[in-house]
Amino acid sequence: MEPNPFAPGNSKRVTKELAQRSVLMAATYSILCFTLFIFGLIIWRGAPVLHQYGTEFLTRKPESLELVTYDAGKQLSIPAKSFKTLQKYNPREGLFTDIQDSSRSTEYRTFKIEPGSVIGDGYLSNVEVYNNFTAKYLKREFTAPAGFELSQDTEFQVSPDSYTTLTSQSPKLQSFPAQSITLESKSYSVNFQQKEGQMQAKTLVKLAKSPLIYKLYGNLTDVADDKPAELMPLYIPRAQSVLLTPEQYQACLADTGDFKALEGTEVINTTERISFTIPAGKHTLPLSSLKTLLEENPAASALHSHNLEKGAIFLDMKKTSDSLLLPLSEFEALQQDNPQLKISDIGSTSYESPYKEFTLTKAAQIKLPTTDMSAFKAANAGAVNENGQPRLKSLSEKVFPYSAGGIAGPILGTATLVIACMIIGLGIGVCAAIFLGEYSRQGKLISTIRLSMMNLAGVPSIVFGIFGLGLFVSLAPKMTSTPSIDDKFRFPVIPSFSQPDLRTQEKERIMIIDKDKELVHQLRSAQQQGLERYYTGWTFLSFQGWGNSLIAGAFTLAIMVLPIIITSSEESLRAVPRGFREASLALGATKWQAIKTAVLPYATPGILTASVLGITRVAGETAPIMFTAAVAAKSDLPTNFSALPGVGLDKFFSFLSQSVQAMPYHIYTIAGKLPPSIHIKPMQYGSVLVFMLIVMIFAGLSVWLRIRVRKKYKW
Amino acid sequence: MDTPERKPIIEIDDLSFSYNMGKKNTLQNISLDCLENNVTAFIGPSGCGKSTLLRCLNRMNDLVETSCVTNGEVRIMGKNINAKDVDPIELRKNVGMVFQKYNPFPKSIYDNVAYGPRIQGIKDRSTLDGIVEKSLRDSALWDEVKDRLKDSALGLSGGQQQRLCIARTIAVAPKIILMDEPCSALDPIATAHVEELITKLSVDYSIVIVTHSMQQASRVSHQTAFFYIGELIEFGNTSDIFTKPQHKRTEDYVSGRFG
Repeated sequence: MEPNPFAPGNSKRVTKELAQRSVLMAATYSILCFTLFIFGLIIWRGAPVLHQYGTEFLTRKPESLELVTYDAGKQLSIPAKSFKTLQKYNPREGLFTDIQDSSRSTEYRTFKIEPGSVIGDGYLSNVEVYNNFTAKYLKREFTAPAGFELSQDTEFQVSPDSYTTLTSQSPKLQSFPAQSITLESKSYSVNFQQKEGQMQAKTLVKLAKSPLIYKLYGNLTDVADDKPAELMPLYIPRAQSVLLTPEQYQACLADTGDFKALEGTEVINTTERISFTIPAGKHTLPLSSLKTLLEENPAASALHSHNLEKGAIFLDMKKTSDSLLLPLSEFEALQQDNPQLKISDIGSTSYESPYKEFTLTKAAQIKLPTTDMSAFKAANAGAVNENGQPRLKSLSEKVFPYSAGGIAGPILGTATLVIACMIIGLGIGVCAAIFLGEYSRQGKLISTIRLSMMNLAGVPSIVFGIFGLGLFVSLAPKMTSTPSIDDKFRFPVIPSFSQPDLRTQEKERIMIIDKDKELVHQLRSAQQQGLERYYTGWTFLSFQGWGNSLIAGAFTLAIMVLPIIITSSEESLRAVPRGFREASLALGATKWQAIKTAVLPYATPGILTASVLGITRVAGETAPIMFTAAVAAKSDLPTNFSALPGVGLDKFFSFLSQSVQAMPYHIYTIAGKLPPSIHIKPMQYGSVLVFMLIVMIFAGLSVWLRIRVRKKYKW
Repeated sequence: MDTPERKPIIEIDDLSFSYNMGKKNTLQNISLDCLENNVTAFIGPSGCGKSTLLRCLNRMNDLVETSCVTNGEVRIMGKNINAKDVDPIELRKNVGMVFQKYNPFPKSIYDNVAYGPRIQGIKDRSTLDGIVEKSLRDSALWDEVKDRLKDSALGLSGGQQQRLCIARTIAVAPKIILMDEPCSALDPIATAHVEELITKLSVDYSIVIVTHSMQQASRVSHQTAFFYIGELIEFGNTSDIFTKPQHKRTEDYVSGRFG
């Protein structure tokens, strides 16, 4: 046999080659593995979530998931419209039996408010919530009577001065038998030297209420709870004599720090008090009296004493209001507690609302989103079962934030952000591309611009976030008649005639500047009062920034995608045959006419392709919107126009200047910032899956649009 | 062809032109007159500057930033077109141009022809209809396309597309039509159509045509100019140029000995 001259000589070489090949192959196939793993995991874990919650997952606002545990056999009821949600969130088979329809009627009172009425703050907001309107009011009033209710006879003690004031304000108090008493109290006069040293946290907490002047280094509130014996550095700036309560004095003596050797002298104080007893039941008193009474007797509890510090409100009404509506019990409280409220046309109406009754077959945790849970709890409140036990005696209750699904807010937020960003980005980008490609001569300036554009493309996105924070959030100019107190600078533009009403003043913390007094002093006092804006009667171009807002985020994102848009727009402009431009110009078109009619239409498909890239990038970015537009929680959807302040153009501006939730930021919140739990995990996968689908839809829309345009303009 | 007495519409007077700010002249001291309602042909080997000269006549060379006229002037209808008070847009409305590669816009036939009138601000539908029909009739395309005016222009054959471009040009009613090798991308039959059209159009328009084909020049033009490396070698009646050229180079070129 002929020897084979080409026999594989070295078997080692073959093995070696196989090994080399395997390494290269492994690297390549690992990509496939990663891709499959990512998509597979998201779909495998996310799809069941979408399947369970269905459209509710998309259409709800982000809510907390509340869990209550009940014994078996509990009879419960829930408003009919929440029943579906109940089933969706508790899909265990046969958990609920004896499901029956029932209905409850709620009685409402209808009434009208007459001009010149005075109403308590809390009651006003109650009426507003039930009737979905906003009342205008003139001023706050502290002498208006307010109602309160005592569950038992209560003894009150006040100083003689206060008693005189109280009885003059409300003579009714004189009818309660009063007696004068003398109280003795012991306190210690203690001398402190100027000193730098240390003191225990628990002592410092007690001394915080004393008149001692000192400077503390470090955060007392955190330390005092966790380690009360911890020593905190302390500086007493001058020698002083302070009156301490026995408790404070004892604490100082027991202190292990540098201030423990303290000698105090005992001081005996006597105070005169007037004591009287108000019987149980409903009463009315002027707000200021009630306030004094409660301040001096913090232990006494009065019902309906909310919003005391805000006072009652004089409604600014020219004519009788439209017909309003309140549930019976609320209406009774309103009438009882607001004697200066003039109401007329009292009518009665009742509404039937459908409920579902059901029985729990076994002890179980019931999961519901917050809104449904509160409806559920309200439906069962006060009701008792056959044994006289309250129905809703739960064994345990738990709340998991953001775990109830509902990503309508982030979806709409991302959509509005992307749309606004693309409008701005394409606007600036296409204009710039046209200028660069068609108008500009090649020069130093232009090549600098190109270079800076390239650099822009390489800037990390967090840098854009900081840039947006610095420029759009806190410096950009804004036309406003109520500029921020700490804006950078401002120019008056036109006089403004509409002074913000009292409610806006209170809500937005606006100071109305008095023209006759010096501005600087007024601004300083406004700052001390914690006010944020001021009104002088002029509309300013104020460089105060747009705040954390949709428009600031959109601009930041737009600048981030500008390089992508400009480069690819320029490319697609260049791809339009030169003949089109020449033909157009030869027909007597101006440069712009030629660009508009013979170049731009044919570059559109390419520009749209660029925007596809832009959209997918913009939608996914977290860092640039973190400081400029996104918030973790928001109660209203961004497109809920009825909740936005202003009318017409103003409404549009408030739409642009609201902060929004956004998908990437929401995912970051639920995955990274909230404590991990089994309830939040499905939300993470579900949100990610939906987000992926949304980005695909966005991209798909652009592709579809591109194909359509391409079909129309093909050469 | 004989040349009746006509007055010059384009007067080129000692023109020198450069593409690079005067460093090197592409055209060197050209002087010639094109007559009204006449067809003037520019012939010469590639790179001799005939297209450049054509593009000087409606200032299309303005698109090249570094180009400039270094000497002499071009007068069209008696006006120096490089003067400061001449608006190139207005000039181009009067001096239309047809390009070597037919370049209809990717729009309908109707929109292509109506493009010029539209950018000049004519919006009235019936006026536009009239202009489109007249232009298409003048360019002998009407009968072929009248039933599919709304169809894309790109569906036409090459010759039809080139005639459409001519229709597009005459829709803005220019005085002069410049044609830059209009038949070089067409087959012989389409070429014959276009040549026929040129002859027909010369009744109403003054035409300047750049061509590589000497047969074409002899067939359609009344006057012919022969260029060689940026210089005008010979200019005269077409019959004279082809039958008794004065210069050796011209003779060599027209007899096909070089070029």
